[in-house]
Amino acid sequence: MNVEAYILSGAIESYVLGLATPEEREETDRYRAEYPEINAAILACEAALESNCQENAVPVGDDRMWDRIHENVRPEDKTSASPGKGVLPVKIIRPGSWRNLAAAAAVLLLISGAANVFLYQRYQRIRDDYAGLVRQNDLQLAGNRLAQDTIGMLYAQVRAITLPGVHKVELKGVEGKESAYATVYWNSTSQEVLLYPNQLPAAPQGRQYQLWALVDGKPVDAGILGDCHGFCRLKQIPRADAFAITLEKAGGSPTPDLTQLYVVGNVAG
Amino acid sequence: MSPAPHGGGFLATQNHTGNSTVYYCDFNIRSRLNLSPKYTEEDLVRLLKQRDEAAFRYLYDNYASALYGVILGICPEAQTANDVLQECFVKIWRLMEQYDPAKARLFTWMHNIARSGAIDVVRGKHWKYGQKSAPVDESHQSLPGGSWEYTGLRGSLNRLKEEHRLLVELSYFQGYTHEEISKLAKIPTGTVKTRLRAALAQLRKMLSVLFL
Repeated sequence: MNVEAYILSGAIESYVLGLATPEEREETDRYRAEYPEINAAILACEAALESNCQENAVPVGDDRMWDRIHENVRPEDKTSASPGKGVLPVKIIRPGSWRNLAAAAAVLLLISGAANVFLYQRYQRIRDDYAGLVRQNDLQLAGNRLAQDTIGMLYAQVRAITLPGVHKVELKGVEGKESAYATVYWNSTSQEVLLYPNQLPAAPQGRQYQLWALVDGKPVDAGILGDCHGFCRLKQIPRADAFAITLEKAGGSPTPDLTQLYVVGNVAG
Repeated sequence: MSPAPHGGGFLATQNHTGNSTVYYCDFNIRSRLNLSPKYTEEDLVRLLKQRDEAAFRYLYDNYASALYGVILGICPEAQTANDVLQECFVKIWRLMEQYDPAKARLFTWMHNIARSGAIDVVRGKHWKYGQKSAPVDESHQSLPGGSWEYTGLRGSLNRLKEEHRLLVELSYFQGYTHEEISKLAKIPTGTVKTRLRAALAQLRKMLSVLFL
């Protein structure tokens, strides 16, 4: 396009004076961005307009003009309320709605952010609480299972000592150990031996109680009393006239140390 | 921004295609004598957008008479022109936040506010008195042409060719759109556009000889 011709066409003057149609304005705006010479011509024309208007300025005769303008301008809030006599009311179109929306959105975002933080903290707390409860529940379940096992074992033991053919042998404390007392349940059919240590002092460190069966006057090892739950299940004994408990070294001895005899009892019948 | 170093007006400098061009816009004598310019155009716009009253006072002192001349060119009745000028400055103050320096210089923008304010009043009166359809030339000649000495654009108008003069009169001074002019003068809109441009180019040439 011929930039020079365009500049001389009067299009620029039309643009600056505000006489161009919207289409013409758009066209000139486009050329302005594209051609620096056209932009320069527009600026020159604007300068010329200003200079021309200043040269043809007419002094404002009305001395109160500024005061009236000032009055109309000062109370910004009341401006639209009472336009003065003969003064055109100005409708102000404020590009404010999007600002209000943006402000509202910002406030909502803030609230939402705060709510997120709050809810996240609550979530963390509840998650920790939940994990604690799950652990507690697991422990209780485990304890429950243990208790059931113990109960089941005790039932089995009660069943075992109440079977027919079970001899109850009361082992009583010998001289000097009168307070000691234990009970042996011996099933002569199944040869099973269960012992309940009713009253035996705790074995000292490095030593354990050992049960003996006396068969034809000879002691037979019937097993060591470890940590028993309820009854102690000991070795099977086919025959026995009596039972006795001695305190032996840990792990037991092949023959009883009779000086450490605690309790003894004969099998009835 | 520091105050303008020179003593009499705005300085607009731009640099395109390697050439530096300086446009110097002189203030009128009155402002040069009474008021020393304190602001660059950028400063003035910034302060006005910040609702600075001192800057607004400065704007009034330096531009009221120039805009008053523009208004009187369109609306020669002094009382009405006073009202238009008053409303023009109120509008400038209120619409300042919408002013975009990238689109027009401050004076160009104010000039358009003054011009459209004056046209609104003139055309409002025409409509009010049922003179809208009155021949435009006659309505113009009925204005106080004898007592008023036309200046500025108005003054130069008489030196244009008749067909050009009519278009500038209808468009610039009476605010008719191209379509309205096309109907009034019974010429095609395309012709209105090219003829108006030619008239303005002619006018500009005449004014350039005088003022630039």
